[in-house]
Amino acid sequence: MNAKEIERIVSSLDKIPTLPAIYSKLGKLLQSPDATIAAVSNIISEDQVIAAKVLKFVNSAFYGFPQRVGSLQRAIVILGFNTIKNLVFATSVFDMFRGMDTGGAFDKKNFWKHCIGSAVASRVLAEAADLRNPDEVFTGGLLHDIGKLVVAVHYPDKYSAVVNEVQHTGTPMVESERKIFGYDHCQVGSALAAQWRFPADTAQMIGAHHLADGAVPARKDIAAVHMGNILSMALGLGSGGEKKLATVNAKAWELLGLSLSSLELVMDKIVKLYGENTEILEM
Amino acid sequence: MGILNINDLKEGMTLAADVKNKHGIPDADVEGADRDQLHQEEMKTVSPEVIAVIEKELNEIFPPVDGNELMSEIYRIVKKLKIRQVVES
Repeated sequence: MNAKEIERIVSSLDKIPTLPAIYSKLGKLLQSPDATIAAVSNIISEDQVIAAKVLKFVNSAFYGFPQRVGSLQRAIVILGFNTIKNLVFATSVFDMFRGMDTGGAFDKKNFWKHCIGSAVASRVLAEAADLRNPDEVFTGGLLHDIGKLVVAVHYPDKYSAVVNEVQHTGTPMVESERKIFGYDHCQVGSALAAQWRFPADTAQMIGAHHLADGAVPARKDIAAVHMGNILSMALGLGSGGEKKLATVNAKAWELLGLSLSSLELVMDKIVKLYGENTEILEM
Repeated sequence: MGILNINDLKEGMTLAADVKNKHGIPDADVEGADRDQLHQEEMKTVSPEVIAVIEKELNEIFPPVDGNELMSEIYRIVKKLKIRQVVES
């Protein structure tokens, strides 16, 4: 199925929530050359829950500031406009799907843990590999499997059949999804990201995180999300529904430029940050 | 010489080069260090039965790792972390 057909399917789904108003307002403001820190801060302040989450995030172990960051304006200076926008979205997106039925076999709690684990792992890898945008990679990791949630919400029984097949046979989820639906969660996630007007880089991290053997990742952030997804599962940080771990794509590993001997500390750091931030990240 | 995780440094080891640190992920190049040997030492800290349970659990989710240096290393690290969890629990 080609990208146009997937876009048509996604746009016809009726349970896709509209983006929170605060996100749309931020998007419009940030497109303007006159966007100021004070104006961004004013918009975020309209939603005290989101404002509190932004402050919790900037004060988390990810940044390790010795003194508490107490003002939204200071948080915006530290995180930057793009990260703030992504964070506002990420804190809202799973709330939007929270009450929706996803079918008996799809474990939403474990799925959410897997999303957090992948986000943390992708970010740690991005930092270790000296990428310029670790927070954007975090968002890519957090949302990499959003397509699964969207399909499960719309077709709970059919998606339960995917999960059951994967659990009984060890078939990779993308293969089972293609067999049962004719498309996979990466295609749906990527089309959804386009519909929600995410940055193109984020949409590509979501769409390309399953790198088949021999595939060459287009960028390091895609390689980081690909590997973050696998490390999260290997470390038992939730589950995206897979029975078997995929093999890390050799080109992705090569592109990240990390040494084998650094991997243990990378993985130690993932486990430590996940443990320290679970409460903050369970938005 | 071998590149070691800084947590594995032990008294009496001699650094062959300065410790490199990238974003809190340090490497140490140690004279005569052997990661396989360290792995064997880790295994001695818990009973073979516990190791067998951990290996069974990991073999259920890992693809075959033979011949894949990266996946073998991920397997070794996850196994080590699980052993640590058992020791600390």
